[in-house]
Amino acid sequence: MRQGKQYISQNQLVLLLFLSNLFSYLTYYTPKGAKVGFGSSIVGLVLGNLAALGIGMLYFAIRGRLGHNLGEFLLEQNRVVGIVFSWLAAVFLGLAAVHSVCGFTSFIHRQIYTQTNYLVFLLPFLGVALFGLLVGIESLARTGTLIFALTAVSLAIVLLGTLPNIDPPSLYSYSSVNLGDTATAFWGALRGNIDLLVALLLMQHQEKKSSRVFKKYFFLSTGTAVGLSLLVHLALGPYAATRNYPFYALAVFSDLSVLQRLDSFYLVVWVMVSFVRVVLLLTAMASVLQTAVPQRAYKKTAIVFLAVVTAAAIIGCSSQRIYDLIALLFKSGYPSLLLVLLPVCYLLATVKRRRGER
Amino acid sequence: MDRLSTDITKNIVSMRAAMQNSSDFINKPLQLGGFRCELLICEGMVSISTLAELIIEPLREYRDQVYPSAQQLYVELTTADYLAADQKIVLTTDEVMQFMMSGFAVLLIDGCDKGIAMGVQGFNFRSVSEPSGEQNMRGSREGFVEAARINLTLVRRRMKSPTLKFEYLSLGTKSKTDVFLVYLTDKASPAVLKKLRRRLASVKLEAILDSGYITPFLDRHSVSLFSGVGSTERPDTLCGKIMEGRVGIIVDGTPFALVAPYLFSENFQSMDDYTQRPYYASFIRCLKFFAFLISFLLPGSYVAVVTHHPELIHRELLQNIIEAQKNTPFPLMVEALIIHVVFEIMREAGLRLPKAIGHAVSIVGAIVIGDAAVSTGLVGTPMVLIVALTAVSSFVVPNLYEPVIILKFAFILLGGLLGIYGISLGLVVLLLNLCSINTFGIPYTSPISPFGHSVFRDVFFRIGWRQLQNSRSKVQNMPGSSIRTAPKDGREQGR
Repeated sequence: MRQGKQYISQNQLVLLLFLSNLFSYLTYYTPKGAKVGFGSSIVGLVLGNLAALGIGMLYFAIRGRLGHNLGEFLLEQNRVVGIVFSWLAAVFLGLAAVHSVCGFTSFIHRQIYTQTNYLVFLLPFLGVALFGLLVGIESLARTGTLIFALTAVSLAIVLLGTLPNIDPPSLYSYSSVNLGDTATAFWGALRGNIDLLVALLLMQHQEKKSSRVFKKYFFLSTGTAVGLSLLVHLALGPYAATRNYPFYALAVFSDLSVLQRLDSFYLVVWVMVSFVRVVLLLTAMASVLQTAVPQRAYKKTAIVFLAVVTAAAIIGCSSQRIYDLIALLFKSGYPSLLLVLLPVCYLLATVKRRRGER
Repeated sequence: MDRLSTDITKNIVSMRAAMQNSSDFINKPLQLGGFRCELLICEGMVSISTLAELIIEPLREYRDQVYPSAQQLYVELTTADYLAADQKIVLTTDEVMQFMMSGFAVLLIDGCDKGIAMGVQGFNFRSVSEPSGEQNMRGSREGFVEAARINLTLVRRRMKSPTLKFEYLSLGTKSKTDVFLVYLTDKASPAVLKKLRRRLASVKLEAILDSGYITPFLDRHSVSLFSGVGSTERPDTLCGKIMEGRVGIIVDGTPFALVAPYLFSENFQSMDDYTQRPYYASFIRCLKFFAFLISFLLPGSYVAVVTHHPELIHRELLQNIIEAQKNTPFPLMVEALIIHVVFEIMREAGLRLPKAIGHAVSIVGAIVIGDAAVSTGLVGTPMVLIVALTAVSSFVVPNLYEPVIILKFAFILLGGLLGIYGISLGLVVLLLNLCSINTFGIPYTSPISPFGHSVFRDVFFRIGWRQLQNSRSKVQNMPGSSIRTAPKDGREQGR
């Protein structure tokens, strides 16, 4: 939430976006009763991420190289559009943060510490997230690099523990690709990609502006998502589709030497990745708020937003109905598309019109 | 700051008054070149034989001569080549007193408003010996001593470059402690030097009795267990640091020189790393990082796993742990806290006591208390093993001992209350705290994060000297630094 400009390198931004993206894959997999086949879901996922890459590159080609974020550019084009966009983006990012916090807490509460009150996990986590927000994006980016290394080591350990359970021939049964399923998976991957919005809003913090951020992010996140999906399917087979948290189930079934389960490593990854995700969303929210409100009112507005996010997270975790409502809004994906695709098209149209006028 | 008067009696009276007629203030009247002179010394601070040889004896030549004016006598004395070579001109009474108290003899001439300070220091100091806290297998056996000027010579002897500069400062409104900034003018960053001078100027303490007094003024980051200012007892280590663009701070009265900026990875480096074969040095480096993690994570993780996640442990091992813990009266977290507090008490007692008794305390602690605690069922055997492993590991990286102790207790509490979730959350806070430190514009965790290629050169691994000699790396050019200089010279690549 520091107001002075802080800069991070493109690799640091890529790692932050990747960790935030990893949260989605650790939380969510094909839910029970989902009809999308494995082969189609993988192809759809790759295509969805490719489309996100395309949108990012398009924005960069229009204006991104100048280093302004999406909100600032819209403000430059049209004041009203810019302010409305910034408010919408801030509200949506706040909701996404609440959704992530609730998802995090519900996993811990329902899967691991079932006997303990959820507030015991929620309040310390919120405290740490606020601390992360206060120290600024520079420190968060440095922490993100270390968390990435820890995550890679933990995932490698889980992979090592899973190797004896892998059954490669089981992959054949998932190899069919259906066009309809692929389209569904594609749409799901694209509309749920909030990291694209975050990347476009944090563009101003990038030290050397380059479109390579989107390319690196695409390869890293798509590769990991495909790898994790393959691993889960090869090791758990059809059982994976019956679990809410298939990768967690995989960690539970893996063993290594004196450790007969590897879910502790999963838990470490889960906490750290969730932390990065929530703080990154809050940072992007704070960043876009700077465009939405005058400088003198920024601090107060940011505090109000954070208080609302905290309260919403506490309420969202206590009431399943509210959590479902937030999840519905978030998972519908339309806000993210409205907040990314439409503004980019608007910018494209404006640029074309101005060139025509010249 | 009263300027010296041409009236020598007035000068002596005012200085005696300022020094409250202190018994170590000695003024010896002399008659030189037809003028009344006074030789001022501080008893115990000068070498009597040097004083006689370099000042009293040469001054005899002037007894019978007559000079037309005091000014001419002053000029003659300052140009005389047989008086003490280390001469300074003093203009105020404060300067006279400061030089006297630093072991100079000050000569005042009646009718002249300037004095001549001549270096004849001869106070007693501990001889140069092996540093107790930074012992090495190979390399020099010399360590810094309490006398700052001896320390300066130890550095100069190793670094005969004309760009090596000792910058003098006086700190402490009462103690007037001599402080020297030591740096290479062609290596150190002007931005770091500027910040250092500014921060040192903000020290308004009455007395600086140790370099530790000024560390908080240099270390201006937010609340953290870690410090961006290091210290060393070894002149060769200090030379190595200033070769990388760092600035040393030598404080009179302490054998520890400060080093700034100081990065996290430097805590794991020692002089031995650079004298041993690269493969062995790299192995030791990795071992140190591993030991650091064990030293604060092991007890907390053990408490977390056994208390909250016993299903993670293999059945037979878990059975043994349960067997060992079943007769102990305390919960595991409390047991861990108690035994670690007892260990810290014994360590502190062993440290402050005379060496012979200190060893006895260690033996009593290790054998009698440890064995008795297990046999009476107060603590379980696995916990004793954990404490022993933790204690040994925490001594592997002595520079980080203080933060490790606090972190160890914090992680025991987190692990006991929240299990692995608490440990993970604690790790996030620790990483965030480490990564938020900037020391003089350089990230404390650089080059680990922001990532730099020197991680593979001199952090986790130490490559051979043939490769190291080609990398002229400077601390200000570390990844993420906001004070980069000389873009082509020693610039780190990547982040």
